[in-house]
Amino acid sequence: MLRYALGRIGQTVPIALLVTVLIFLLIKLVPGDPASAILGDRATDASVAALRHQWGLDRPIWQQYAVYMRNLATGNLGQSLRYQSPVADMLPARTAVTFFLVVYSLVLSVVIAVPLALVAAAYRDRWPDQVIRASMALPLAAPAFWVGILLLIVFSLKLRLFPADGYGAGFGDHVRHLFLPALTLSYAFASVLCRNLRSSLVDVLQTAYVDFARAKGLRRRVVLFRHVFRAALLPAVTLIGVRLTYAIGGSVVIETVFAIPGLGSWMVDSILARDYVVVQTLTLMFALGTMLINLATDLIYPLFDPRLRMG
Amino acid sequence: MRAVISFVVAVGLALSLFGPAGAAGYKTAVRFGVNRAADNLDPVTQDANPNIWAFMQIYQQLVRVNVKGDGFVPDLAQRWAVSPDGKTWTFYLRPDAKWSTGDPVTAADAAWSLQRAHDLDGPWKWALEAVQSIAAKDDHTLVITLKEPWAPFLSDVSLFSNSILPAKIFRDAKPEDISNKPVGSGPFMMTEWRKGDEIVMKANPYYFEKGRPRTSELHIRYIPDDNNRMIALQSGDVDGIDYPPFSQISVLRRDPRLDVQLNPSTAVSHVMLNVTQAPLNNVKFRQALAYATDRAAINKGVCYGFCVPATSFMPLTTLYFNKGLKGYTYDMDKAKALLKESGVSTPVTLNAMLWAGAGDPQTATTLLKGMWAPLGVTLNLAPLDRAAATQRMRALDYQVYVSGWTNDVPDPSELANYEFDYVTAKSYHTGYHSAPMDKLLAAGMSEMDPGKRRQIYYQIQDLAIRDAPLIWLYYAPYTIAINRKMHGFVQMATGPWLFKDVAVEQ
Amino acid sequence: MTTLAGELAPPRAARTRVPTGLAAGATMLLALLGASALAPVLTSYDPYAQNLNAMLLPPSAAHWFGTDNYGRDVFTRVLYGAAIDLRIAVLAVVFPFVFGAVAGAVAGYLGGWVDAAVMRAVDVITAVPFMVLVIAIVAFLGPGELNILVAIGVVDWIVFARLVRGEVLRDKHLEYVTALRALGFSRARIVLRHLLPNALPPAAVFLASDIVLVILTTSALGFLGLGVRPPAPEWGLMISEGRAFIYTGWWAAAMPGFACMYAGIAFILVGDGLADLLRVRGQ
Repeated sequence: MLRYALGRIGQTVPIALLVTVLIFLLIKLVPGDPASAILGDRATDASVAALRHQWGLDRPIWQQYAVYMRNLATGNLGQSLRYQSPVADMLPARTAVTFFLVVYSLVLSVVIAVPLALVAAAYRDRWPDQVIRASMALPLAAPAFWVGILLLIVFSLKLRLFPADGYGAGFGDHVRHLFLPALTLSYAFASVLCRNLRSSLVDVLQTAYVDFARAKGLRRRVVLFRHVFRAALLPAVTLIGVRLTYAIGGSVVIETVFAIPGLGSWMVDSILARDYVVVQTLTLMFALGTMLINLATDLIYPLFDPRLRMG
Repeated sequence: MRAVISFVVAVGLALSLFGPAGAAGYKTAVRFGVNRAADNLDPVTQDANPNIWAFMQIYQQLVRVNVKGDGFVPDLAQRWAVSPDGKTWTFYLRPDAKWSTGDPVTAADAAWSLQRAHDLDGPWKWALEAVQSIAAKDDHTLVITLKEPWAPFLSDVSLFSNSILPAKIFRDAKPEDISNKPVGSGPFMMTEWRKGDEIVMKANPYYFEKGRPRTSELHIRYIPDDNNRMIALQSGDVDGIDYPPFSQISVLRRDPRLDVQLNPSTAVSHVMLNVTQAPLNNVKFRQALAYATDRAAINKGVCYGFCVPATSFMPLTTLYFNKGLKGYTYDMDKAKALLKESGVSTPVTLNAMLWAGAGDPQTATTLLKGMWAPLGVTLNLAPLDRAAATQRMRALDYQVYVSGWTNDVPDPSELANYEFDYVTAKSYHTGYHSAPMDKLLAAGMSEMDPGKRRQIYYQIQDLAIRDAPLIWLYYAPYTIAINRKMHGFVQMATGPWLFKDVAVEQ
Repeated sequence: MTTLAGELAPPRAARTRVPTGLAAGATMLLALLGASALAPVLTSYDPYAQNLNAMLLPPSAAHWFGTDNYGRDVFTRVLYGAAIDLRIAVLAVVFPFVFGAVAGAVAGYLGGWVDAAVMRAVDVITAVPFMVLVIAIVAFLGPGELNILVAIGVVDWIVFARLVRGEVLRDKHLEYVTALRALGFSRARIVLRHLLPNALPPAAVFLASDIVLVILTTSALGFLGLGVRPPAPEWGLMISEGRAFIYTGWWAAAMPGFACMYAGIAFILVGDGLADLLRVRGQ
């Protein structure tokens, strides 16, 4: 087990290094000289040259990368040109917001999906199953930001149930402020989770030991919960890891819809303001978060799967 | 554990809202939602309204433009005098002014601040161009000597870039410290800045005006989307918002809890034409476009009728605005005739630069596309991000660009020079250059007699309309929506809000 | 598997006839394409013509989906917009499909350092959330249709590469491949003419759900102001523009969203149906 874990961590490190190369190269996509593109309206030749020097753009590319990596290693995540302050200073508060949002959306999806999947599996191919499956297919095709806007119209504008912006202060306030965005973010996942959980439930229900349990005269509900549900949970765990990374990507758009001061809205704001260093650093942060989640999923997986634990 | 703490904090906050906080019956904090985030609070280097309007709560100037935007009122200077030759200005500072640190404001601070504004290569360098020397005669007397008599000097001194900062704190500081840890003598001081989210200010206990500011906290919160901002206002999350869109004014007015204001502004919206390129270098062609531009329709489409169609390059509130002008009245026949005279063969394709998410300029450009089509002019919309658009505008690498101007001073010289003097800003980055215009502009700067100056600026307005390097579209008021429980709110014609008299009922 | 393919696999046992879902999806798609192609006949409005006397009119017999803030007919714009969104969606998946399939097949067959290189590239791109990487690339390249295609192309090929590689790895030791090799066929020919075609079906099935992802991504970019230029009737852009009027004219933003959803459901049904068919063939 330890060996598996170390091996898995060992695989992640070179990937992470390659990811830094990819993200380092992103800024080279800017048409023309990034320094003058960034300084834009108030640029003078001297200020452009100064910025080029500060970023090492006047050096060979491998040296630029070395500088980039040295900065990262020392915790220097770059300077927001727009706000004239280090990205690292602004990062923690915004990361907390996005983290809260993503975890919240995960919780909501589980709360939505699990009961629906149980009902659908229990009434397989009868009308409750058909209705649930049909309604769960819809969210996959709807743009999340559009659903967010609709929720905003209904729950904030018409019903005045939830606030339309911000993060609030304190746990209760966060829960209230982030409810609609988390719901928006969660519905696509809930749909996937529900479909997935239902089909594994159906598979498990068909296996022999369930028939055996049933033959023993156990009540239907007991069988469903005690035997089937636990077995069906395993694929769901992997799925949760995968969808978490989707939620992180989705947060970029959703935070913009709901004016939430997290990493995603910061990224969009920085794109529009050409604050490239921030965009670059945030992309890296999103990537690191994703890699950590994937790693965690892989490390947790064997705890649930006896075959891997023994191997 | 964290949840428990948060809960306690939340309950505490909830209680504090109902408890006897601040003056009886009023909320501790005023919350205001804005559509753009402030990103830099250094007065000398900034030209974006969200920055200016935020730091105007923190800094004072020697004199201020009055609320209507057509005169001056004392600020740090109690009174001022000018020598008979018009070259020496003396400002007498109020002795009771203090920084938010408690130290007194001195003439030496003012001298250092103005010298910095004078020396620094910023967008407002022109404002102190006429200055020869700045000296503190004693603790409360400041003497400024000019190279030559300068008609708009008081106007220039009132500019926000000439804010007075504490020399002791900032003389040896890094430039970004002024932005990140601003210190001033104004009604508020910044206590927390979550960049791109919220600026939290507290009342400056040393502000010279007793009993002001009325509120002990001011929160300026960035809510970029118009809908989110309006919903935040209607749900009571904020007490007021800026820029509710024109399309929603009538909707908001139906809400009896809200006071929706259309405040006079110094804004003018226009189409810039790059006159260095064919066919826009042809004055008849430009006039044809101007006649084909239906300002009334644009007022309807962009402003839902809440703006005033533009008749001059000057905003309505500018000194020497010629009320008698008609500008270009929509006339398609005249436009077609002028197009024929111009010799420009149609169809012609023009690229209209836009910045992504531009809002009103985007609507106006889309409308222009429809209006110019009958002339055989096809307008291609080319969105760029804002910085790139600005860069290309400055490099004269565009053809058509809808933008706007906001006057910061009542005097017309700032705008007239920016818009028609090639040396200042390539004539508002249109590339327009005219000898008769240059002569008029120079005369406007040195002429001290108000009657004669008025005539000069009338002539400038006539010439500008004839040459049409820009097409002026409309004068938009500032839109503000506040909860009726918010009292004392004032927005100046130059744009900044005054929060020192504001208090919000519970 | 990080993709929709697995999630969309049909839960029910495969049937032998053409699945109803596939038929329904294909019909929906054909209807949309037909309506878009026949738009000039179906509606008398111009998608760009403004009418300031008909701003933000609610849905009615004259304007089925209402009008937007320029007085343009939303139904007309949705129809014309279908051509734009579907064009981008199809173009955006063609390159990643071709490139990913070839890269996957070559990597799977050759193994060794080629395989390692391809798979590391796949790992690196997988490490960044799809949406974040697409947005970042468009952010640095600038907005516009071509840049959207480039950004999606760079990110999206990895799924196809992985799917095809898996199939090739399974097939490459089969007898017929060994026989081909013994007959002296070139490696390129074996991979491209024999292994690749056999490895394509799962990737082709995934194509349908990938198009859904691309439609959603394109509209999200349009929404963020990083997509197609106004005044094009692109759905995401229409939602973004209509969003300013949710107080007074919800239809301007809601209708293009429904169109997006309609197209998405059609593609999902087609994808599910294809997967069904494939299972039948595999049995």
